[in-house]
Amino acid sequence: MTGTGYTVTDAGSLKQNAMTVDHLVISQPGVASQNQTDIYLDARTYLPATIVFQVNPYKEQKSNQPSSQQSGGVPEAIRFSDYRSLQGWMLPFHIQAYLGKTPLYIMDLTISSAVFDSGATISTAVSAAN
Amino acid sequence: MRASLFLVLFLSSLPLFAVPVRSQNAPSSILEQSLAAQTSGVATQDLTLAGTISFPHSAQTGSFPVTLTVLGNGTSRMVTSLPAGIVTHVCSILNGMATVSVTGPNGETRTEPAGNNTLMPAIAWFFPSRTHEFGLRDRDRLHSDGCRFP
Repeated sequence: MTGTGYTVTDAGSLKQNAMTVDHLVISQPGVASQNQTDIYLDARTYLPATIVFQVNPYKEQKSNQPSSQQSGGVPEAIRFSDYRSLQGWMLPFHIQAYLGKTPLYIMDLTISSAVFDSGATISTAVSAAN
Repeated sequence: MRASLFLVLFLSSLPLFAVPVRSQNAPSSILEQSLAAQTSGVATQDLTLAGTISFPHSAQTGSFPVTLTVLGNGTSRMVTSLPAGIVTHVCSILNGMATVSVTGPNGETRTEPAGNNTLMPAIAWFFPSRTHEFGLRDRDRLHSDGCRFP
């Protein structure tokens, strides 16, 4: 949000869930380490296996600042699997979310269908959220 | 515009396919390879996914129907049909900040910074290529709780 730019760093390869992954780190120079995103790519396919964000689910936002830049951020890991090819895209049909340094398994998404370019719209008006 | 972006990205990443081993010194190239692997350079304006969702670490047992939609502008929505009724999460940018609005079965809506809501319809949850796009192209807009990547 500050316009100072981000850097992408190659943090090397490692084993994760019986898979070799390439670890990339996206960070903002000069900003606390909370403002960091870790991307783990399947080394064979380059498809995302896990993306780790920093969230701050337990505190009120104190200012006009991303909560990840405030103290107390915790990691939230999103794992992607069961990639399927659809209209030229590779989409993950199984998505799992884990929260915290001792990860709690908080969400499991199983996708059954995907539709591109349906002309979908989303109203951001509160009264039309449904 | 997005079609052009993808075309440029796709064309610019074509030479990378000829290199079987990634370069340790070019992490942006790795991101571009990943983006190409996910999209094949095909542009899209919106994507709607349907499936089921469960919350293993909660009192809410069972699986529930869910529909996720993401638009090219980064706005996303997750509609979950829980036993108590429909819950809708909409993630968008309000006044320059990523915000999630949650409307519960009673119709009341609560709006809060996106990073405070761990069950928001983060784009990267179901559209991970967005992560790479912003990591490569819009670095000044990237922050880890801005709808993950608004």
